[in-house]
Amino acid sequence: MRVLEPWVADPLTEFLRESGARLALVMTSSGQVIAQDGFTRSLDVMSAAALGAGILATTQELATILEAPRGFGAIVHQGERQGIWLAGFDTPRGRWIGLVVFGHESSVGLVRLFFARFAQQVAAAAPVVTPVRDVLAEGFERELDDSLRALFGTR
Amino acid sequence: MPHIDAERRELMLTLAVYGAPKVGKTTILHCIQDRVTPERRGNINPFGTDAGVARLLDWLPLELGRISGWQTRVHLYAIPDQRHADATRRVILGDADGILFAADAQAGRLADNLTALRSLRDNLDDRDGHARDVPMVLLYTKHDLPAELLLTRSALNQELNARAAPDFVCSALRGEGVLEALHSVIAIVMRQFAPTRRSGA
Repeated sequence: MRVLEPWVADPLTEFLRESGARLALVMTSSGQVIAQDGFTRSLDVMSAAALGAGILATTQELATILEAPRGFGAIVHQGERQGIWLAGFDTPRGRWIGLVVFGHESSVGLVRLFFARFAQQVAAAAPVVTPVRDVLAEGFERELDDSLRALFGTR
Repeated sequence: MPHIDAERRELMLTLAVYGAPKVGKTTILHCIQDRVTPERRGNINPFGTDAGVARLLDWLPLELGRISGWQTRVHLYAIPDQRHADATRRVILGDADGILFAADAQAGRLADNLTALRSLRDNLDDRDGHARDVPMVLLYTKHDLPAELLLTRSALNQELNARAAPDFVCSALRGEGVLEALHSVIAIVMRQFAPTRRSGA
């Protein structure tokens, strides 16, 4: 499991154990990866995140056109050997998205049940957001300039 | 808003290259990929090009290194033009910390640039109809073309740059002006993290 936000790890571990899901990906609404378990290649993770965010945004647009302002709850694709669950949920850090792949050892019902609990646990575990201001120390501009010079090879 | 991981002391910025169709957005990404230090970047990742599916977007990850103890990364997206990518465009712009607006400097493309600028404002509108105030720089592209085809920098600023944002004359094909514009927008976005009490202020 890889997590960008450490406080997501415990709820995600519990979700995977209880639901029996094979893969799970948690991302922001713009597709930035927060946590994942089960993917072996980072490019697959980024692709799945971007596509998942795009699919959910597209579905929301469709809901708007159909005058369903609350949108659709979740998107489920049930294949022969495995299924996909894609759903958004609100957190103190904004709206996030969960993408879950499950097989015969699980079911849509189990995923739905434990995903709802996962979303509640994540919302409860979110630490207070660090203010955007005052993140950097005074004099950061020199370090920023050094970093940009290193990036652009002009050191 | 930039992604902040206080525990790991990581910052992640999302920057978007936006502009009219055929203005050279992906060329700008390639120009950056070709010219930045290889150890500080990933590769351009195209999404949605497999199995005949139309492309959704291109993105390039960059590594700024540690700034004030924060490991800082930049994800640079070339925003797609296609109508089918409306939703993708909206989600990327909804999270963008900075915009590189690419405007074709050819006189004959002014109307397209104005349309793209309006479309950018529409995409940056939040659900209450207010445009998000996102740092932006302008790149006046195609300066590898003959001068008689191009509008002057002051004419372009008059038409497109009401915010008096930093502007750069550039040729992505020759690699001129692009890194300077990227440098500028990263610096503007990073200053949002600066202490409120500025030294010497």
